[in-house]
Amino acid sequence: MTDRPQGRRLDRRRLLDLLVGRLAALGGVVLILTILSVFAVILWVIFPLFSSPAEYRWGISGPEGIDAGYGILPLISGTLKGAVYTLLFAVPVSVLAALYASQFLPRVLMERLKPLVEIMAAVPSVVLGFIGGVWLAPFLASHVFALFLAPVFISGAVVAAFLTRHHAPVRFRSFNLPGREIWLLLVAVLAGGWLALECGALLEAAWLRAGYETWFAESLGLTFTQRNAIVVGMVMGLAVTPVIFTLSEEALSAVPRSFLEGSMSLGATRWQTAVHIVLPAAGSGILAAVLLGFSRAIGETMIVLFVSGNVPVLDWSAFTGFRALSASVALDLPNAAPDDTLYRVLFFAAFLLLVSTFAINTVAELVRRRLRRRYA
Amino acid sequence: MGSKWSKDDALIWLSGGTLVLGFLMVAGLILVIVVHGLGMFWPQELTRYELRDGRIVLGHETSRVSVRTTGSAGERSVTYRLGIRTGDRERYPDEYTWLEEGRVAGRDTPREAVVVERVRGGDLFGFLESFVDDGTVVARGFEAVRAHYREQAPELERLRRQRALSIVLSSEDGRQHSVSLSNVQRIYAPNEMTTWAKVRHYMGGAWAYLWSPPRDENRLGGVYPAIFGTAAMVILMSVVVMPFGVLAAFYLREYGKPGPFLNVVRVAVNSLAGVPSIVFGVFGLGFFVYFLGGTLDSVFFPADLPEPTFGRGGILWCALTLALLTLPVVIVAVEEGLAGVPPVLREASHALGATRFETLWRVVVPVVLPSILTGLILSVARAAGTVAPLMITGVVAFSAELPVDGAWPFVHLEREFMHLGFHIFDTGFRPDGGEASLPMAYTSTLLLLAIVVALNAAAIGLRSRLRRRYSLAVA
Repeated sequence: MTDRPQGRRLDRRRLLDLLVGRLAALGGVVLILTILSVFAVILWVIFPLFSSPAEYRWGISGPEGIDAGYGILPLISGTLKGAVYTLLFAVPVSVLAALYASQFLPRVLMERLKPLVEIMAAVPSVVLGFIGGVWLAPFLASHVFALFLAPVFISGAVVAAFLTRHHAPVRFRSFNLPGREIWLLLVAVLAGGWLALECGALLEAAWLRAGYETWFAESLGLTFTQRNAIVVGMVMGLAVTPVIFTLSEEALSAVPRSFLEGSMSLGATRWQTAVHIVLPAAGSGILAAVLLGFSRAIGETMIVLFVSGNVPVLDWSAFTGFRALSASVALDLPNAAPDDTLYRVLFFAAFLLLVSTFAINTVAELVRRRLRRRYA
Repeated sequence: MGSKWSKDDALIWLSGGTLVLGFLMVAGLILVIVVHGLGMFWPQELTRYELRDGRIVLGHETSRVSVRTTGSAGERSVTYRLGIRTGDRERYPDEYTWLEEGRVAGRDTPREAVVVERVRGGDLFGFLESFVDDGTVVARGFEAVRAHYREQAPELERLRRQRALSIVLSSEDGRQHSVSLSNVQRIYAPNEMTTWAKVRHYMGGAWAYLWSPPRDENRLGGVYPAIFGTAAMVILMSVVVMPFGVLAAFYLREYGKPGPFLNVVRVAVNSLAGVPSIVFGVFGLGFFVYFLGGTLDSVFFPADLPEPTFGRGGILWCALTLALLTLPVVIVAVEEGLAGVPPVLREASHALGATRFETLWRVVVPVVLPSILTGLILSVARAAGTVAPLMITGVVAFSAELPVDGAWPFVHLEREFMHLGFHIFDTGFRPDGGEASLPMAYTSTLLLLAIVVALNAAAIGLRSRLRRRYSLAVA
């Protein structure tokens, strides 16, 4: 053993070390090449489109030889419509929930909620889309009044629950342990939802002459379809809520305690501190969270496929559906022959999705970094 | 408790309400899936509805919908319509019919009503009339036919081949159907089943669902090929994504020197994580299917052209596409593991003269092995639930061939395959509004949800155990 040359052995070890190091670097290079090639391949396919008339890319009704309604414009409008209604639902819910979770919920409970949120985020979008399109859309379409009453009734029930606990006799004191209110809230939200359903049914009996579709047409002059932007907003909202919630909660929890202490010592209440001190301090983090949620909603495919109705329209009504870029790609690309104009137009749709989500994500990342540096 | 309270405290409660609302909505939707999905195999009792006009309908109620109408004089009325599953596709398209509840004169649940599940053509509901053996009636009436059927059942396979056996079924309106025994999957009389018999029926149904191929355009039967296809694709994807993901994570945490190149790699990981899944599908179609596949075809299979071999969607291209999609998932999980390794371990190893690779291989990798496993589980869960990119890179609603079978070369990477997530899309999203396939869609949704949630829960559990170990080690 001793007569084995020490040098060679060392060399082999160093060589292996070097080799693995190079291999790991190669992994990094492959990563860069991958993202570049995604851009390159898509650009390569859509390149011939740029030498053709602009209507091929942007037209409203679509060029000849392509199925009518293949303008990209209604699809862009549809994608944005879906994303905006998603945020209208998701931002209030997730930011308020994050504010509550970071400022008022005991840490122990929050640690227990985290895995739940993570599992919520992992629910496949085909599952949410299916249940949204097949069950929720018909359900909401026959309970429209209840849907409008629900926010009011649920808020009312929560306030009522608060008053009940506040005025509860002393012997129910165990209710006042921190975190216990979550159970009372649970009951309150359920009760509010149930009341909204009941009162909605009463309103229906009083006002509805025929179905909701007729009511919308006659009383409001609006078209109403079962698969509409509200349902998309709710279902896709549930899909992006965990994203916005987690990142917002992170940003809100990162606000230094000294801010809170300073505010409280000046006599501000817990709520005032949360809204006027913590929320603005975490503002850019929340903005980043919302942006990431927005880009998620733009690229989401299965949910819009199931829930939006996939009819290309150029309106922004809450009660009609739409057709999104992503849904068009998924539905029509399997039937497009390669090198066909339709094929290239659909690649162009994918390109738009890629570029917009890339831009939004980059901005969000920059905003997040700035925030991290500020409180680091 | 003082009676003084401020508006602010109520606002805190309202913000808490939104948190609870979010959870409740997701929980509610999942509950709907669970209830519908678990209900599929439960034998539904058959009801005979007699209508005022003398018509008779046999089936089970699936929904009750209110219909508002306003008469000419402005009087309002609410009527109810019953959605009845009737089977028998020849008479009722979609196997459903609607009944005005007000026009139902009477209903009963006849003990002798049977469900005949057919291999092709969907279910029939009715009453057993006779058992016909080569043209001669050998049994008549419910009890006799059933006794005869049960007696023959063990030998059915042999008998089917020898003689033309059939069962004559009369539907509720007296029409006669003759069903050849070779086309009979199962016969049962739900109205006279005991609870125990129903439980056994349920178990049998669930088992058959998991292990048999679909029948009747995915409306009936099982999802075995979809489960198999999903598993095969996910395994193929893991084989590709794990080495690359782990290597890239090693580069980012262990080998890469801080500098512009490392930053670019980091940006690339972040961008990759943000690309919508459908865009990966488009890339997969343009690059893998048409470019790589087309090249492979012209080099290795020129004899078959223009019929493409690899130049069309297939399981390999789907797996590669999803490997790109899940690469960031693996990298993030392994990186987190690497970041958690106490520096003391590395320093001690280096101090003893080990090279970076030796330290990595002998010290760091054993410690981060659970993180690598976490990355694998999370990427598998992600891949199992992703459908959109597969729709354009090679998944099909029905395929008679599995991607792995006994024929040479055993693993058929170029084949199109069935996928559980796409099965949900196919059965749940029929343009003709196919109600008949919805029970199947609910059950598949439940199965997929259960798989994904179980995988994620496993990953979360593994990770939290790991964190606890580090925090102990560091303390």
